[in-house]
Amino acid sequence: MVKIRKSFKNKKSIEKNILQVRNLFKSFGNLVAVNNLSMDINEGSITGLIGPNGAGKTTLFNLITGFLKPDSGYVYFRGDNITNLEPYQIARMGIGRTWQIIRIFSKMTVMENLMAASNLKKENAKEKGLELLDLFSLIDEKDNYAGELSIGQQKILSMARALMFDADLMLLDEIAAGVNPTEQDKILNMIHALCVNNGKTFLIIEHDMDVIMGHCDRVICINFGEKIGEGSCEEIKINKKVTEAYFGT
Amino acid sequence: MRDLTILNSNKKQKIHHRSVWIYLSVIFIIGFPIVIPYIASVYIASVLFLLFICIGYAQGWNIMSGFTGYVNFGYSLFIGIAGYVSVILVIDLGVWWPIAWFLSGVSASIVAFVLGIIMLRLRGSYFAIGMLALLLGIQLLFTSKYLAPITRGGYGFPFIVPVSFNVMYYSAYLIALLSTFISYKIITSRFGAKLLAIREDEEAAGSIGINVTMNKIIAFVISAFFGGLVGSIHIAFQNYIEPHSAFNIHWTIVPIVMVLLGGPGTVWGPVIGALILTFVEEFLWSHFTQAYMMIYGFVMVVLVLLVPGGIIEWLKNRGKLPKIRTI
Repeated sequence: MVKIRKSFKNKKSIEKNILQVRNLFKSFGNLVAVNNLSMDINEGSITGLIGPNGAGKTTLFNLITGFLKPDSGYVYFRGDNITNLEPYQIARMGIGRTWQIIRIFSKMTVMENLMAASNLKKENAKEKGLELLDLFSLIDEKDNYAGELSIGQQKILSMARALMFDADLMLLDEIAAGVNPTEQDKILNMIHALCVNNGKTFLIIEHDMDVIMGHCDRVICINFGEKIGEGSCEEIKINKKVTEAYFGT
Repeated sequence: MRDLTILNSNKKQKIHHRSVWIYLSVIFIIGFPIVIPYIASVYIASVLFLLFICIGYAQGWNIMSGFTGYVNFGYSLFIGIAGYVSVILVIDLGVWWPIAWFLSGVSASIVAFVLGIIMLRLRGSYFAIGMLALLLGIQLLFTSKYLAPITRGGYGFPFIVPVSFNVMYYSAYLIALLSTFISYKIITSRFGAKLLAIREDEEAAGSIGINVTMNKIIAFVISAFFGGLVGSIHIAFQNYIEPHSAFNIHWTIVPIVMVLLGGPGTVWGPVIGALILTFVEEFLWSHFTQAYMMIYGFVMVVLVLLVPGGIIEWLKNRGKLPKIRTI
């Protein structure tokens, strides 16, 4: 495993909150997208964020990363209030994200995609980019346009792009959706490896329950913008409110 | 084994020969314009002068609009302001001309910086229309009586620049080279990658830590500097300045058409576009004076239909050129 940034060696030793969301509220006109939502994300954990369509998962991501400003409430990253910062400032503090629809720079080469995300000197950035591409086995594609990659590779690239600026917290929006099973396994193994070896923290939105139950340490379920359940996978499975939201019974 | 090594060494030799030819042709292309004023007629020299002016304009426009995708319809704004600044500095204040030209470029940059802070909040076509409105508004301001004590109002004034045509020719040539070099430097740097990222997807660019607004403003300032620098020489060549010609929208449209034809966001696209359009325009103008604008328009339509992404992209997609940024 190539060194990305070994800030933490062992995830079990860390029980600190990297992200704290407090009483977040956001409405679009009459529609309340996120309603008085609070949550804590432990450093070095993989947390799943689930909920029916339109529950407010992506809105929550947009609020955390600064693309939307909340009506009220706060977001703390490592204890710093990041609620009203610009998206680029939040990214530089160490929060990376991917989007539900793939938003890589398709008319730029794979390497340029990474170079754009770095704040290092050109040579160092190149070196780091090559390391990451090697890690993600995209090295043969480095001079091809990113738009020519397969869907799975594009999703991996969007993750690599966030690692390029040393994001410690990664918000992944349906990273494993629409990808063939082999590539899906590859992505999930990568997430585990980054989590264990490099102490990265993941918050992932996913609709595939197998992915959530098989890979997450904790699960948070929201519906109509409110948190309706939180706990380990087993706890969530037997949570009445959660099953109600999903199956209506 | 031995055969293989022989093959390899032959190949090396071939590549070596080829690179020598490339170097020779580059030296020839760069060196050729230097001797033109001494061996060719004044007419040919003035056509080449116009070509260099156009390359400078097109490269300047491309640095902002080609790289970031923010189409600037108010480019002549910088030409006009720099023109006025340089003329007033040279004629009224007696500043040495190279310094005046440089300062006029700087003044255009300052204007771009201030305007950028306001205008670059607009996106897409709103920015384009906003810049167009600003151009027309400032043109009107310069014709009004409010600035008349400095700018002589709408009538403008003739002046004689204390420099020969050759000096202007070489200055324009130097700036054409410089702007192309700067464009090359930008596109190979991380700053260039950030500008392209903004063109591709501004929100995603923000999500990976790119300060979108600042990068756009820097590109805008560099773009305005070249627009202003070239504009001050261009206006010095005309020996007359008045708001209509200084802020002429013609010099917004010409660079745009050149860049779109050659290939926006590429280093050599603006050069190719300027080369083709300057000579086509000159040919049409001298041979079909009556119908020149009509044919020009027709040629433009045909070219845009045939090569929508610009000539450079067209060649790259057909494998005639390698798909690298430096071309």
